[in-house]
Amino acid sequence: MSGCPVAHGYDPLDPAVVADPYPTFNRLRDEGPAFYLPDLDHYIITRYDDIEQVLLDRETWSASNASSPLNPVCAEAQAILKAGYHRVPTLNNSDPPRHGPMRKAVLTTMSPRRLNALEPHLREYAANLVRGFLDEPVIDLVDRLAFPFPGYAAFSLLGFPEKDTERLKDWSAKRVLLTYGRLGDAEQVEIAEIIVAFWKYCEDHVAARRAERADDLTSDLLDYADKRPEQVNDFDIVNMVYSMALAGHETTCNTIGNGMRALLSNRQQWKALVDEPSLIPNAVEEILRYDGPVLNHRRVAKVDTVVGGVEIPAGGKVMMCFASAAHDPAHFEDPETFEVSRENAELHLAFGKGPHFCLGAALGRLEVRIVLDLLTTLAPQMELLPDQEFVYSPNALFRGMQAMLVAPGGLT
Amino acid sequence: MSPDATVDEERFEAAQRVIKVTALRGTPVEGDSCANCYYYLEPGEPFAFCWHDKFQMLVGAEWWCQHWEMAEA
Repeated sequence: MSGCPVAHGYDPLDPAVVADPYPTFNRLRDEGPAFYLPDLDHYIITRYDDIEQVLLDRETWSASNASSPLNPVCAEAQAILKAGYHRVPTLNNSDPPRHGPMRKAVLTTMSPRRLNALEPHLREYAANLVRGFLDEPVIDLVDRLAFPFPGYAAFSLLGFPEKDTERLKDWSAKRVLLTYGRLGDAEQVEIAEIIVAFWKYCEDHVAARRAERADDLTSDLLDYADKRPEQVNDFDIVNMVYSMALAGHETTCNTIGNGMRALLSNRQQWKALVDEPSLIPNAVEEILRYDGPVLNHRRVAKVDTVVGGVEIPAGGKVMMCFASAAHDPAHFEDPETFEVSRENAELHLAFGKGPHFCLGAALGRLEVRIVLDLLTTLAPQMELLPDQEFVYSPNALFRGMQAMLVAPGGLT
Repeated sequence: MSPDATVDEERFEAAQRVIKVTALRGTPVEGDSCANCYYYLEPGEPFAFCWHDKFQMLVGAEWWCQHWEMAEA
């Protein structure tokens, strides 16, 4: 690759990098703005300004690879997917002219002002979860709150029955691994079958709502499609539901987990929130900056271009390292410090930027705010169990813990 | 620097921050613009107040930002 340095020895799926990617990102960012990763055939972009430029420039960059498998999928798994999985570019991985109508359809059903009506229900559900573990000496906060709360929010918003939540969450976690992890053939085949089942589940759900509407987002999307059949059809809605079924909760689950780890590991910051709840909205932004839920996001060059002085040819696939941008000292003073009152925390790129800005940003922020409101009020003495090992999902995109043990009433 | 210039500089920095946080642009995106956004207070006018909580400032009908929402929804 002429014109572009190669990142020898960097593997985003290396267990040590998955466990703590920030030292590696800091090193790469110090060494240069872009590197080629031969094993993954991607360029990684490390600096805030360059990533922002890519996100905003749709003439040069396509989002078409945003959900494509990072590693090759074996022939048997491909055959399974080809037979039963018919997803087409819809939201995060679509470009104009398809992107606009899809985005508008979701915006009409998920706008921040519409979400305001949801807040009391979400707050009540989360409060019940928190009250359910307050008297227990030790709990897994991911299992008891960080996972079920966003799952409830996303799945109930879409209209999925609550009885399916566990199964859908399991399917979602496996979807992530096929797209952004590195699996053996047997696991790929197993997950390909799950993806087909998930797709069929979404098809059936949309068909059921087509037959009989309910008070949920899927029904709202169908109503929207009825008014604008030239823009959106039922197949598009299956694609949207399938996309949102993952995007709607995985990232928020991770944000809650990562955020609570950061807060409880920095006791002064936790105490600051307990003493001054008005800091919570900014604390949400700082959590998204300091240890956000999305490590990398992808684009592909439509034309020959240059990023940070490095040449990238047409067809070149890039990983924009959001986590590196969030720790770029050119934009964030003392970036390795977690500071809930950081003045410019909201400049993070955790939700992307520009025309693909995350449609669920308002919902995600609301859910994390509700969790912090509740825990600082009902469990101000909460502490992390010492000496526990934090295990993160082995993938190159999402950063989320599989478990986090805490003492809700504090360690005795 | 005069007191007035200080005020101007503060306003400039505040405006720059709004532009950065919201990806505010001076041109429409995919046919969407402030003119057909829910938060544009006076549709039909070339300039109007945007009452989105990230803005609350004067914007142009042909502008766009990432918080755009459909007016008729």
